[in-house]
Amino acid sequence: MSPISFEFALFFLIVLWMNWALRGRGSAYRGFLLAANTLFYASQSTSLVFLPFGVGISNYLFALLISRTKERTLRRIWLCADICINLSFLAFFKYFEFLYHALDSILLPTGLNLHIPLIELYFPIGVSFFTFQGISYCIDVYRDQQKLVRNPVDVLLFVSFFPTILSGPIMRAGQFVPQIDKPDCDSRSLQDAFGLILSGLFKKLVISSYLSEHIVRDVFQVPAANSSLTVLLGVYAYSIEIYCDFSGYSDIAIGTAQLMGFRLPQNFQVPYGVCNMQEFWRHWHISFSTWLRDYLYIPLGGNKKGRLRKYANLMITMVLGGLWHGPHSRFLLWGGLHGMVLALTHSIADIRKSRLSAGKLTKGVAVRSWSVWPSVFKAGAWFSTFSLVSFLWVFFRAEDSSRAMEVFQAVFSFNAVGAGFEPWILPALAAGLIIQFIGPYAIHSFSRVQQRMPVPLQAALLALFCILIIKLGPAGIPPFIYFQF
Amino acid sequence: MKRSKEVTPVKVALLYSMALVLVALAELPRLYSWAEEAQWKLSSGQIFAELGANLFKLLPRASDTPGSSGQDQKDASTRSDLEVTEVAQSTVSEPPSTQNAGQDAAPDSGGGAHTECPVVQDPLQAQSPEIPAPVTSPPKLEPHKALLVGDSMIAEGFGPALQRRLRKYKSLTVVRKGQYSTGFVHQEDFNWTSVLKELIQQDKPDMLVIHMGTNDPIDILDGSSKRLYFGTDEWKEVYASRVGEFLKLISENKIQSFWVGLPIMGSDKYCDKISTINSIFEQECSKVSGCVYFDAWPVLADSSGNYTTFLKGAGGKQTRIRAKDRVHLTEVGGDILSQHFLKSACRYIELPTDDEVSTAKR
Repeated sequence: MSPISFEFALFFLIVLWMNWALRGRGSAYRGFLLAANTLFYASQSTSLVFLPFGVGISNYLFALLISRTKERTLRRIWLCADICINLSFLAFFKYFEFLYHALDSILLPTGLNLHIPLIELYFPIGVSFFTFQGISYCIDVYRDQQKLVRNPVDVLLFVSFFPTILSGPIMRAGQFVPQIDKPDCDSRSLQDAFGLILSGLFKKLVISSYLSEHIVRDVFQVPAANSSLTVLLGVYAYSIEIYCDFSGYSDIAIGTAQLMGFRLPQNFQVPYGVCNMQEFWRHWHISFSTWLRDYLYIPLGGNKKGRLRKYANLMITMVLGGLWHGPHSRFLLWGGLHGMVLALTHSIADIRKSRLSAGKLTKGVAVRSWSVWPSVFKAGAWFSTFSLVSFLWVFFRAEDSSRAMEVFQAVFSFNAVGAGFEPWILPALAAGLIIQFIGPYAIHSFSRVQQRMPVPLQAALLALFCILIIKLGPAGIPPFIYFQF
Repeated sequence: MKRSKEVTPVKVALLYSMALVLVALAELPRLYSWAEEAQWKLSSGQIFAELGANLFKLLPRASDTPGSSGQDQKDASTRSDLEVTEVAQSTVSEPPSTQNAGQDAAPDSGGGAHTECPVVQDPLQAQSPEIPAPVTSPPKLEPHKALLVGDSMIAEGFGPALQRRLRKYKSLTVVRKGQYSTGFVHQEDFNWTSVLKELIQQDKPDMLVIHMGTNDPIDILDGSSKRLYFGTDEWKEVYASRVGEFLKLISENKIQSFWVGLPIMGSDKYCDKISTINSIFEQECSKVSGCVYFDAWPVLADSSGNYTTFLKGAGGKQTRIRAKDRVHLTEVGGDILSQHFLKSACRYIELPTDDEVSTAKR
């Protein structure tokens, strides 16, 4: 049951009515929501439907142990055990094949060979997301025992909440659990939810699918078959495709949750409108980058243990963040390069800061020199950042590093021969860029217009937009990119 | 009508319900098809079986051999019109290089003459269908424009791998059209015959490779909204007529076509269904002049003819050839299949020699 299918629309219709009929009825509501989560996850043609619940129970028990243990060392041991169990779920289902090959490669030169067959495991969809939620809950309880959730069902609901289980946003228990009893919604958020869902559908069905089908796939599969300009556009198009795909899913998830009275964290905030890489990571996949910051970068020492340590921490965080997507060299390379760029950006900022404090550089000079061409400078910074992000996406999207090199080679060969691109690519690219700026305003305006209308007219308008989006979308819709992670 | 600016949960649920009804009314044909499917799944209990099967499943079930469990099964060796006469596994020990594929690399040619077929560089030792050579050799075509069409199997895996292999040949231009979630069943959404007509007019290909059918093992709702259950004689008749219509268009345009049958699949039931579909493709292909059926079934099977996700290479290293859904091919899997296909196809088409290989060609 894909979130953009008629099955899901019907499933959600029942869930929505029951949600509001049972809201505030304690265990009845919890039972209903748990059943809805289970049914949704079971419908994903996935395996081990009880896995999220296993993760939930294990985290509940460890959090309980941590909260009841006074001794610091023992609490730390419980926390480590919990993290190890969660990571072992991830390692088993996601990294098993990689670990097998790694061990095989180590043993092969020694003459030993792994004679055990490579077993194929089913991949439990969303495992990277719900295990990270589980880990964050236990660490939160370790840091502050007040954050303990008394009711185990609440932890299960938190881990398996159906709008977010497939691809996030990655929630924190402290945000979600209180909303089970007390819906966090008002008139505006309820109305905005429809706009968010429409925005998500438009991004995924119209922009992302179009770019994927008409340029990105061909460019990344057979780069040399295209002209350099087409490949270059394909690189930028993938940036827009992945943004529209993932933020489209996030919009749908946030919108459906909002209709049920749950407010979820933002996942994207104009990520391609920023002027440096530090800013990019504050605006891209926010729930994941803040998770990495709070549960990896800061525990590693963050920026409190000297500059070199800070750069190393940034590098470690980004490499692990890359590998979270999967055990593949392309994610390692992508994460590592982002780490390097971030460390470089921080080091330039640090040098500048120290020179400023030493009086070698005055703020006035910098401001004056920039104030001559502020718009030009800003536009240049924006374009450089967007281009850098787009070129780094090549490593993420290409089959392997040699294919990534093929893409770069095709771009920089300045070859005019080869497949061109359809004229609609350019408006689609522009629409993908513009939608991130105007999206929130469009949603609010849509809500305001709707609020002035009678309900049947509102429904007609909603249906009209929906049908238009369906008609504009392709016959076959590629799956959401982040479902594979 | 009273207008209120306050939005309440009930109002939201009502609004959602009304909008959904309106969308459903606008998409009535699709809804009807979906409702029929859902009703059948519910009444037959299939939906509960699927949900139940998902609860504890950790490892995929080992597939039976298609022959042991399938309907419409035939000996794999009799399923192909093509023959791979030489699988030179021992000549090349390195895996196919993706880096070289778009470069000046020589094609996998076994020699200098036109009539030589490319050598299959398959360190994973995939099996090729072995069929006696045709009694009479058909005249060979020197293709200039190849069109690859199909569903997601052409969009990824086999399609791009074959394109990468084909575009190494100087005289050949390759165009690929892979459309996700399409086939010959839901023609109201995407009609391949109409699309192909446009593609032929636009691209004027002289060689066509077709590889699709993964979305088709489902019931057909014909024009009178009658449900034709998959696998029944009625279903086969309608499905075959649709395939026949598609092939007729190709034949009318005098295009040399190759229908690449679907490879073995990872689930028993699905495997049986795909086998049924493959036999229709093969049967319809044999009725049309200029159409050659290539049996991909055994190419990606293991040495016992069973489904395998990993193929073992010469050094004992296992390589993933199938995607996690056990349907689609990885790029390595696609490349193996495309090499075996080309090896066989060269009985019908003239592929140039090493010195005719160029780089930057579409």
